Amino acid sequence: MIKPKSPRSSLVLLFLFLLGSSNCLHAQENEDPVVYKNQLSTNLMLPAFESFDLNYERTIANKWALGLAVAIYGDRISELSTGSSGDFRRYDTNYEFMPFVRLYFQGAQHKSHFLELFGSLSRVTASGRFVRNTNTAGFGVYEPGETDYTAGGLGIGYGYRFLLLNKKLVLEAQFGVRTNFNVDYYFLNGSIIRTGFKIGYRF
Amino acid sequence: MKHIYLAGVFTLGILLAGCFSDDGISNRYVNLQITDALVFENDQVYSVGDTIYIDLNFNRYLDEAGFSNKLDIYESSGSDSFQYEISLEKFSELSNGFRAIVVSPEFLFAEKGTIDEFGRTLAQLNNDTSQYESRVGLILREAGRFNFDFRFLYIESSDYLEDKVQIYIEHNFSNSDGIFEFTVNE
Repeated sequence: MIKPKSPRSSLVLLFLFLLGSSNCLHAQENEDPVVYKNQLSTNLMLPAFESFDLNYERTIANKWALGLAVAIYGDRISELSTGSSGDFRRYDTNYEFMPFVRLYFQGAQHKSHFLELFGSLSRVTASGRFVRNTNTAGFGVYEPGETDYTAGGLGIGYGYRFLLLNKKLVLEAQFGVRTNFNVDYYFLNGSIIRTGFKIGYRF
Repeated sequence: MKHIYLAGVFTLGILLAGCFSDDGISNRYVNLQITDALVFENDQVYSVGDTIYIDLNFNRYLDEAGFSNKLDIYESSGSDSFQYEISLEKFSELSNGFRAIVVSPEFLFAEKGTIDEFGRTLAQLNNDTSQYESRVGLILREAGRFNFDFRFLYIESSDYLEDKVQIYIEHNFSNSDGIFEFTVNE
């Protein structure tokens, strides 16, 4: 009888499978002079958190690429953040733009480790913050309510990109963490919104 | 390399844009200002045994900078009292200046509002909930030169409620620097 595996062990197996598959195709890659400069990808982990992202990346030099990611988040995305949201106050990131730059250590046209730096501009809904309303008598009153604001942030990531099917199919494993520089006590809050496995297409 | 430079500038720009946003900084604290709410009829010369009074009365509805309508400080803070401290100083020959003294509770009493166990004075919301009122009496039991220093008088809501704001009111005088000096003779 086969015992069900934990999600973590499944992810490790998937990573090893991708690594093995990529090595099998290595010889073919060396013989293939095709160069693709554009890439679209999405994080397969985010739907588990009711979220979705789309990444566009453009190779600009031998080892460098620039890109822009757009993400739309659901309620569960807060589970990827270290920031505390108590019963009374809650912060929900609705959507986010992330321009990024990547350095591919083995070159942008090969499977490679990469380092990523990215900026972040996100729209956040804060619940439980005080807003000034006007009561029925015409006087101002501060009450808990919802306010939207824009937050800036920076992030860093590290990962490995596999190129399959004549370098058109992209599979990535990445760890990426972003902070908006808000702190709980003395600790900088972070969110691993650019962590997971990505699948993409190069053209 | 030019692309990298542009990407860096763009990323830095995004970061700075976030600095100007109304982000998650707490807005629990509301600061207001009032003028001439505290009244001390200073006769300047008293005798030991005399009683002097300090009155503090302010409306429940106060102006707030940046808003056209007045703020209901009772509904906003949920506090039926606002606290402040009376700073009494006595001249000391030894230090050649006025030095703060603590008044024993037996010489301090409230005709309106209350004085708590820590010696803080509380202005209480009156019965028709229209204004906060405090009238404190001080019995002068010793001779000397004294002054009340109300230059930095802050009045704050005394109840802390999670779903209400904390209100701080800075008090100013229109025709005084906030120091009231008087002499008590034997």
